[in-house]
Amino acid sequence: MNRIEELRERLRGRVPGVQAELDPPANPTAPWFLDVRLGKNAVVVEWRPVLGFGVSSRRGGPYGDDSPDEFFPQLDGAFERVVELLTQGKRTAPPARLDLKAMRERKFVTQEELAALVGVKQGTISKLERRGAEEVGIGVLRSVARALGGELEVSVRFAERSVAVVLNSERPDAQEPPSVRGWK
Amino acid sequence: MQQIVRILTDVEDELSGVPNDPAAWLDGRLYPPKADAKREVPGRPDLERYRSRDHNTFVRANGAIRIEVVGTREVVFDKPGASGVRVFENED
Repeated sequence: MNRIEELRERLRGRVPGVQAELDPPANPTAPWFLDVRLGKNAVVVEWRPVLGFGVSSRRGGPYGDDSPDEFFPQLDGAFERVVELLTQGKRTAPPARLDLKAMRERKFVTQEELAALVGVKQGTISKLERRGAEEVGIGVLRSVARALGGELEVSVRFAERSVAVVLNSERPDAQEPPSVRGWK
Repeated sequence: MQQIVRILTDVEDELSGVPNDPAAWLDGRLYPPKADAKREVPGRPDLERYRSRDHNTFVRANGAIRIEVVGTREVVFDKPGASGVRVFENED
């Protein structure tokens, strides 16, 4: 029995009346899905054998939108969260703030895969996740953001408001330094 | 499958504004189902199913394509194959 089959059996043992339907891939090393329902509450769990469990409330997202709302590297965490979603009717939501490791995991990407997309060594991604962006520079951070499907934004928070910093690549004339006069 | 790849590529080229670069599959552009999403369809050797979180994409050997929402089975795309027959219609 693999980990997602174990999750299904544990849910059946814990939640009376739960419907849990496994959707195995043709290749068992590929992503598996577990569609779970209790009354009106439905949850979809995606399991990738090397990476872990993605958990999302069923909501009918757009075609090709595959990022789970929440990610759990271990079975126990996924199990408890699915039980909570089913029995308490709670909904998952994509988090507003994530560290880079969590962001990568939500995309089900390994450090090796992300490094290949960015064009750096796996150790650089590891360093970025452990020590922060100061260790690798803003260029790598920008490439990582793009590889994950986003765009890097940097802002400065003043007492009264936050101001977005124009990065070199965004400036119409890269020779002209951006002016900060007028900002307190 | 080649057909769905072409259709989705053409639509995204026209509307997404993101260059077609399958190697950067997390760039926000929609890409066709990946090979590892494939499922067998029992009793239908002419049919393949590709699962994503919210959708099942069926691709028939005749080129027919059908996309359904998982759970509700609501059909969001249904195109007949070259023979004019759809995914779940009989070939006569």
